[in-house]
Amino acid sequence: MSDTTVLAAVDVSAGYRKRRRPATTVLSEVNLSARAGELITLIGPNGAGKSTLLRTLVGAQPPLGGQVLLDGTDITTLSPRRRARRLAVTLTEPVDVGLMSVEAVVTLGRLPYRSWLGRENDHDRLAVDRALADAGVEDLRDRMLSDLSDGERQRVMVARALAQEPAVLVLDEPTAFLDVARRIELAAMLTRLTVTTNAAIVLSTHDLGFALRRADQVWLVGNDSTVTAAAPEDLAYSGAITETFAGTNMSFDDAAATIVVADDAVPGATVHVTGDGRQRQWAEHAVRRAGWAPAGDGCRHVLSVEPGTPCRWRLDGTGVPDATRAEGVGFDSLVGHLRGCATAVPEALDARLS
Amino acid sequence: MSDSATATDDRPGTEVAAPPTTPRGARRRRRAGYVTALFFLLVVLLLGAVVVLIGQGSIAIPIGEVLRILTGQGADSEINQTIVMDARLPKVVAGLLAGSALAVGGVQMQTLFRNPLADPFVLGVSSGAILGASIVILGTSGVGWLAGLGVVSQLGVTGAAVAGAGAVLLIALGIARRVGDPIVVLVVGVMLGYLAGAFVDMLVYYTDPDRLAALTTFTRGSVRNVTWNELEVIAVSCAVVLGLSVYLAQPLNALLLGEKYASSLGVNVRRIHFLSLASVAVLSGIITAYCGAIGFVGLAAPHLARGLLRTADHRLVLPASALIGAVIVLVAELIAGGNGLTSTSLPLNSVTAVVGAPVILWVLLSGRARRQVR
Repeated sequence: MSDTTVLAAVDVSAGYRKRRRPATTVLSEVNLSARAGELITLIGPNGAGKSTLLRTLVGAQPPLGGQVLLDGTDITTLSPRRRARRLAVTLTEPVDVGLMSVEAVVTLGRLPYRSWLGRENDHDRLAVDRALADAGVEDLRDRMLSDLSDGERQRVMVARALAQEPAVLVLDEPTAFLDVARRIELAAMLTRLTVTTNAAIVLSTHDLGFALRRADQVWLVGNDSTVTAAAPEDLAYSGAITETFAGTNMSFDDAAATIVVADDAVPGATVHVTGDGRQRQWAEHAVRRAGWAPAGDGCRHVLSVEPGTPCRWRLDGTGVPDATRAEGVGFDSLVGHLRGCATAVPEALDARLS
Repeated sequence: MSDSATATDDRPGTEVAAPPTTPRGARRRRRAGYVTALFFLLVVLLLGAVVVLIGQGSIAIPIGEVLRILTGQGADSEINQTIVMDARLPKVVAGLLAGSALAVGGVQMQTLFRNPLADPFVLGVSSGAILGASIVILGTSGVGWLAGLGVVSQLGVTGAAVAGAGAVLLIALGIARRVGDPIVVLVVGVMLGYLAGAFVDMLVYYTDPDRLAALTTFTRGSVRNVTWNELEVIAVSCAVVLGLSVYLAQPLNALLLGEKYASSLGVNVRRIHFLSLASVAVLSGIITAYCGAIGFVGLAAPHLARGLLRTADHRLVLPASALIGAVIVLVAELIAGGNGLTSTSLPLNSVTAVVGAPVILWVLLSGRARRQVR
């Protein structure tokens, strides 16, 4: 991985210029830099200006102020063809090309290099082969694009972008229409690509877990028209992500690296869960779902879980009313039981304490 | 025609370095062979149609004689020579050019509109051309049909036809970009056609009957009245615009991905739109000015080409459509009345509709139109 900056934003303010109206600034004083071989995720709430930033960075709309530098050259001064040789994009909009094979679609990525007669040379074919291999769609080569699934099509569009041999690859919400497995595949593929192609990859996503787990750098578009660039851990640790994303009653779950809803726990309904790793984890999940809060050792209620499918559970504790003590099999009965005594317990406790 | 040359030039992967032993190399070679064979067959079909059409007529001329005259080896009789060169060849060349031009226009419109049902005739572009030409013909004082006019007025009529075609194209494209649904756009186009037709009818109603004869050929489509002088205009402009479409082939391929992707690939979308729209306007305007509105060729030929080639690649589809369009018009002319079997002759449209209408129905019913909604 080299340290060369391939794409940079210098004091950029981005927004819309409407005819005969003052420009609307969406983002201001944006300073970013993407180095070769970096995977960068762009996150931000809806309407904060992610798309505006992406469009400005790829030169699809001019910045209202400042400069976007591609290889150190102002992107607005580059001809579309020269730009297309260094920067490739994939968009969210679905493509319907009619009768076209995957190979033909990927070959379109060589357009910025061709003369108007458009004969393919050996290097063109090599670049297409490499793009197909890098994106893992070699075996789809002769299939028709219209016959592919969403995930396959997304990867073909990435291959088409790679055929441009870009220094910067910008993907607009590549995971939007994909199921979990396809998302993980795509994420792994993009991570591999930063190594094999040494391109800087910038992608926007709503998937916080993906954004934080995979990225070398996160660009966080805030609600206050600023963009913060930092390592994912820095943004998570400093609370910047919570501040930007968390609505009322939400918090950032450090373990899951995502925003979670704060549970409406019944006051006093806390329980200490004992058990092995996974059983305990899912038992706590069930406890939360029932409106209780898992708590530490000193808690009055103790829930012990034993291995098995379904799991055996037993609720016990010191100074707990008999009605609350119970045991059973399966988390369904556990949740049912906890919900049943959640309202009764605190009152009983209060009565005893006072 | 330069089509056969283009065909051999554009075979994908003819110089593949991969050894033929690999399955991919073999597949590419098979594919290249198929494409070459297809183009060869189309050229043979076209040449066959040309020769047969020249030979048949009220005075039948043997095929051998036709070939001798065409290759410049001299004819058996002076009469045959005159019939072939002055009466039949212009008609055949006009038909050939008209078919190619309309088909190439159809391909470009289908890509520009992102609509498999677009075609100069269906979307009312031809009617716009007729309206433009009618205004000039009926509006200017003096004589009637083009033959009676000087070259300047002839160009005036042609220019008006091109302008009329361009106007309808702009309106239709403006609506298509706003609506998006190909079927709505189709209906809009048909209505625009009716509207232009209604204006023509009104013009006709208030005009001196002497000049009306000139207009009847317009609406029905005919390649029979074209002279060598007019052919020069058609041939030169068609050659220029068909040449331009070679340049447009690759950007049009990029446009298949959508405008945003195309511009991300370095394509100047506005320029390609302009050039392509201008080509369609010129092609359909000129063909309509001299041959009248010939329907459905621009729609059917591209679909047949894509179906036969099993690709949407414009580098192959454009030349193949041009060949298929030419064959369709020549065969239609053969059926319509060039065969001398009947004393009366049909308008070309009656025959081309037989080919074109089923294609529209097939596209509509197979759901291709729906799938291409943006």
